[in-house]
Amino acid sequence: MKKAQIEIIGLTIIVILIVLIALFVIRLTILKTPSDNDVIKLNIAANNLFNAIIKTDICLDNNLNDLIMACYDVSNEEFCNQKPCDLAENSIKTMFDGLFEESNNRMYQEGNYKLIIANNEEIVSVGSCDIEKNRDFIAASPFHQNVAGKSIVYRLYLCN
Amino acid sequence: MKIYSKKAAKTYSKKAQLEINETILVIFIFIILLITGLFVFHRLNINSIKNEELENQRTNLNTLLNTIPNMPEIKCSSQTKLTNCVDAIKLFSFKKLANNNYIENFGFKKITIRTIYPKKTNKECSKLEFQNPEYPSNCNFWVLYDRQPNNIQATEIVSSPVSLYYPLQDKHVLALLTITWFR
Repeated sequence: MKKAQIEIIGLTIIVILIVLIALFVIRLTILKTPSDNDVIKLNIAANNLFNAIIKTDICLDNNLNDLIMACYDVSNEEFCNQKPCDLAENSIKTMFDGLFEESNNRMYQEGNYKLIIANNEEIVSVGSCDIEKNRDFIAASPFHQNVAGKSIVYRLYLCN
Repeated sequence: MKIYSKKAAKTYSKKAQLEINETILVIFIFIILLITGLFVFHRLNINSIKNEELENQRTNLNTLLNTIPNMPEIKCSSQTKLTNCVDAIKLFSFKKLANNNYIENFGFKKITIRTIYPKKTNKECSKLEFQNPEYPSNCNFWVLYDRQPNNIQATEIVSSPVSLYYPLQDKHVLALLTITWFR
């Protein structure tokens, strides 16, 4: 092998090494994985939000949970001149709107959350986050409530 | 022993000098590259340590978001039974004590609780508002802790919904706990 050929091979090796190092640095700086902090923050928010919503008094001494029970019973009882199902849905929406207005956090926007209360069928469903298409969501721990031997499950999803 | 002519000896000497020069140049460039590499590595290392510190402080901030509503000083309790909400009356006492007694726990932060649902008059809740017969609808937020550095370089805000309980009215409302971190 001639001297010039050996030098060209050496130069090629140096160029390849520099390219590999540059690629490694770019990968480290640009492709950052989502931090655990974001997941922790969303998880805390989802569980606290669910706990706070369910306890909130909506009409006189009736909280959201009472309204859901009345909605499930399909009784003709009215709460503050409204049907319990409608009042529950409207109140949940108002709560999320208020949270979005105050915190400016987009996870409280209608398309980014979903609260489903159901047994075999849906009783109340608010929000339009598509949890089947959107895989990047956080769910609050499901809350089970027994009513007349049947279990009602409350599920809250926050999409990222 | 080989004997070179004067001309040949001069040519060899020049070539040797050139090779020595080349070697010196290569060593010089190598040292410059090495120093630059070490400097860049050092900078990257320091940046990575700073990022790690920032990330840890963010984790602490998120932890605070969960620990504050669970502090016995403000958490709802009835006959030693704790429930998952914040007691509005306890907030008045906590507000009075927090700024001087929680510096080590909170550092440079502003902690507020603001009611979201139902909507109320936009006013800070103080003892004066509490003594008013219109309470609790005459005010809607508490500044529990507020300590800011002289030189604020950046702020970060985190918030989480909490259930706020008014024991005198036996009512739960939806509120937002907001922590502003000054650094």
